[in-house]
Amino acid sequence: MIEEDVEVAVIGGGAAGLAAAIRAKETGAEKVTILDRNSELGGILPQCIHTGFGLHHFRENLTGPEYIARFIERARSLKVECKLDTMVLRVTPEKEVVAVNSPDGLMTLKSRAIVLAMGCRERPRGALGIPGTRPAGIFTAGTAQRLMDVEGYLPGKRIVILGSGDVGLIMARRFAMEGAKVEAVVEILPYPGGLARNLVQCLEDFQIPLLLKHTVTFIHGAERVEAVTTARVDEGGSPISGTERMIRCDTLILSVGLIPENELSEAAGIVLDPATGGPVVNEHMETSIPGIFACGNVVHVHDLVDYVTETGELAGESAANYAMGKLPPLARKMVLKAGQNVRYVVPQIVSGEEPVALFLRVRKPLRNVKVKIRSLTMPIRVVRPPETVVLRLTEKRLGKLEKEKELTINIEEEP
Amino acid sequence: MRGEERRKVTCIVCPLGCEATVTIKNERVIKVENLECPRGEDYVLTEIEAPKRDFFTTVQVRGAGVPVCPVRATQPVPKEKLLECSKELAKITVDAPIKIGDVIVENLLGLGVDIIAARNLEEMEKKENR
Amino acid sequence: MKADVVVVGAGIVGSTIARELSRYDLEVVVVEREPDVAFGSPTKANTGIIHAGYDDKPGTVKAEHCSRGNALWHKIAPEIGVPLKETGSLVVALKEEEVNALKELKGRGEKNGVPSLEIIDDRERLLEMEPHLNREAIAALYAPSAAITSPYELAMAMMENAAQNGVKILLETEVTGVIMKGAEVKRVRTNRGGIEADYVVNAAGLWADRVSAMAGVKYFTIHPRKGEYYVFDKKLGGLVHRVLFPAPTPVSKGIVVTPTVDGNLLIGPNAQDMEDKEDVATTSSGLAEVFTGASQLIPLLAEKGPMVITNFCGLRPEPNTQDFIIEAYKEVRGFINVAGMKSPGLTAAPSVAQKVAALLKESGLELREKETFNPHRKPIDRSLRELNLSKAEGLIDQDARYGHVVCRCEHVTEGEILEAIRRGASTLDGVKFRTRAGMGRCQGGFCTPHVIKILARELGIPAERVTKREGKSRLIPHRVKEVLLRGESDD
Repeated sequence: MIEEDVEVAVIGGGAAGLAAAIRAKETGAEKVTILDRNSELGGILPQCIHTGFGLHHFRENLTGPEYIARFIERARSLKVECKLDTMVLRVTPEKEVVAVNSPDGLMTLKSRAIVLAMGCRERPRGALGIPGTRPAGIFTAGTAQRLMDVEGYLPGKRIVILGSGDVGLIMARRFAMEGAKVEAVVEILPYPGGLARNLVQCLEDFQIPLLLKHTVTFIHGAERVEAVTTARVDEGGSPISGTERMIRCDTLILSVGLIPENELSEAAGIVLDPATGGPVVNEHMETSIPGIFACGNVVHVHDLVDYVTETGELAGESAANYAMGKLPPLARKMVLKAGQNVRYVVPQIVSGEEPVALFLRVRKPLRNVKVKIRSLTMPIRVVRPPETVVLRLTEKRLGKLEKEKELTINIEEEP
Repeated sequence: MRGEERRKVTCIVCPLGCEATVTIKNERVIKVENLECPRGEDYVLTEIEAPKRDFFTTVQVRGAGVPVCPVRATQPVPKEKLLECSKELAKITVDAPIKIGDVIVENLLGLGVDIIAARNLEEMEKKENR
Repeated sequence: MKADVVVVGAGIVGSTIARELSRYDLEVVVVEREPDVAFGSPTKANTGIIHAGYDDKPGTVKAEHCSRGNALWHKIAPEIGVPLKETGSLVVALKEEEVNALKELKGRGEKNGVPSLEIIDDRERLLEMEPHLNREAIAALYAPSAAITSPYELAMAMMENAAQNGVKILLETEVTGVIMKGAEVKRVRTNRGGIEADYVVNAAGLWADRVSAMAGVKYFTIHPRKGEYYVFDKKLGGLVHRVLFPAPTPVSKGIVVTPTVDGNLLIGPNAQDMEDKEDVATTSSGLAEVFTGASQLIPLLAEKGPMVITNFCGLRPEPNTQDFIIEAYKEVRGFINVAGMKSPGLTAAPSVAQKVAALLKESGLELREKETFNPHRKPIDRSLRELNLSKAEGLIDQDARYGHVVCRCEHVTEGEILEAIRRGASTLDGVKFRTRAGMGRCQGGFCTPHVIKILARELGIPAERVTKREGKSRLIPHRVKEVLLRGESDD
């Protein structure tokens, strides 16, 4: 077993991990190593060939591969060490990273600081329990995206997509552009899950029907998908008998939820927030284990990569400072609680002394709201569930904020 | 009213997502209602009269160890040309090495936009049988 | 083609018979209609329990073979490198009326030779044994000799060992006729040609009645009884320690809650009589029934819906005679039926296989033991998966591809996948059932593209032709741009 000492070990070489590794180097850490299970860096970005990346961070409209190429270049020029095709098996509370790959075999990286950037996985058919057969032709949207835009294969010609979140909508467009027929996008809620621009540019542009308040109740096909049965659902989301309709197709694409990938975190004993599925972090992006930091989709599922980069840089800087013995503890710990109409807030712990960006997700779409944290009030024009709400707690705002052990964030509608 | 058509357009410029009601006569917009800002009006006008979209797809590649390379248009293209652009690019195969920004096709379909590579691909031994 | 014995069916019964016969100096050919061993619905979708043997009425053929089979598996499983975990089982009475059923089962078990049966009516002790058991449990029949195993792994391992010892297997080969000369079997006809053989062992599972009818033996029928299952995340694998049964009904042993030998939690099966032997679809009512039933034994399960990672469904081959049919026939000499092998078919298999050998001998087949018979089969090395790191290091030194993890959730390496392909996997499911790649919490979301590429490379076929399980189950049937260039495509 190879044993190595590193200052900062970054687990995951996607947008979050690259941003963290680069900033760690820039902050002064010398030995920074990225470990990634894929054969190339970039995480999910190389397969996101659509535009819309970098509008905030670079003030440019880039495709995913273009966005991440800049970080890959920078990491290379800073001589960040990258171990690819490498699987991390275990992270210990003593900050040892046990990993394995073909050329090196098993290795233990004794790290002064760790950044967790493992991203998220997709919810599979099995977790939904959709009845029916188990034929070929059922893919989650991300897997279909990889097959199409990295491996160069069309998974099917006649597609039904379950779930109207952005990933599903984006794949609807890709399938249509590659000559497949997208029969329908099926959504169980009464409103679509994705951004308005994607509804227009992925569905309306291609005349793909959106079936709201519907779900897939049965999958047909002995060897390959042959059809799905859809039905309307009631307020509770249960299928209404008698509304069943069969749609012939050869492929079912699932876009029904992303789950932060915290197996390693849990095994290390890191405290998770059930609302996000990711570690509880403080304003340094530090987890419940000192010296272990987290960023990106492993903390909570982001909608804009620009914010992944921002918090990745923060985690990398904190990790490097920790490794160099220069990270001061928080002046105080104030726990932020999700209140009215707030699903979650990250980071969950702040000091109230340092400016920090809070990332919130709301429960329902509202207009003209006030975000309230005790006496601090911030107006926002519109909030929607699929979009992260960013609240920048500047020094001025922090000045108005009470310093208490627990603070609840509420979103109130203007009367 | 004679010759007039009313259509709804969702503005996508900001998260408000206003749904504008547009009155069209002789294929020109004569009235836009229900928008909260002038940026929206520009968008809605363009969207009705000459809608454009970002265009991106993949092209087949030789000698890169991977079979496809993502590409994008340097400028938005007319919305109704999206599928045609896609079909046109399906006909070509590019050779590695490729750098971001390399022009793959100049002036695609005479639309005045170039198609450029969106990722770097080094020349490599083919990994699999294609 | 010529053989001494043709075994029809490569499920757990057929492969166990094949392995038993491979002890002897015989030409044995196994014929299987599916594209791989263990792909039939009874073996592939099975609870995987090695039953103690108290369920079956003394005097039945099932009773004759169940506890014997249990003991035999304890010896055979380590020989062929398949995990068998002696968890013991509890049949739980939740109502006063059910306690009598426990007593009856205990009586049966004792007559059937089942060791160490005990009725525990001390609730405290029961809850100590199983902390998440329904607190209303009144009593339970404890059978320490019940065990759990992996049913398809067992069948595949038996067949590998049989093949090591000379048995031939023909996949995607369906028997279409049994040809007699007078009262003696002479030939088997298949969709891929004929096999001359004097002895045919019919272990065709769901189709055993059809094959039997080809030989003119038509006194029984097999109908499918569907059973659905849920698999939970390994995080719940420790929720129960033993196989938990409810009090039995005349129709089935009931909806079980059990750990699996791989560390998951498995619940099911329900029991629904069907007509279509190819209907393996799960149903919302069936799945709901399984969930409700399991929650009766373990109430905590009711809130663990989000921890489900998959569900599946199998078919039991139910004989209308209600018992195993293990017979030779004077009027059809050389034809042996091994039919209706529903539960405890898996448990009984090694004992049944010995009986089949005896029936063949009685029918005139000479059985000469082979000196070269090797009962040992090495399993695919899963050191990394088991996090046996020192062993894994040695393995990686020998073959670096055992250091390249492909299935992230189950830590399955490229080395294991290549070994699976070497041992006969030619489909995604073939790799999955031999290595567990794709059985984890992401259910193949990450590894499927990689496994497809490896299969294409190793089999020398374009990736478009890689299938989930042969036939029309191509996974990625088109290269991108192909469809676009062809224009509006035909279906």
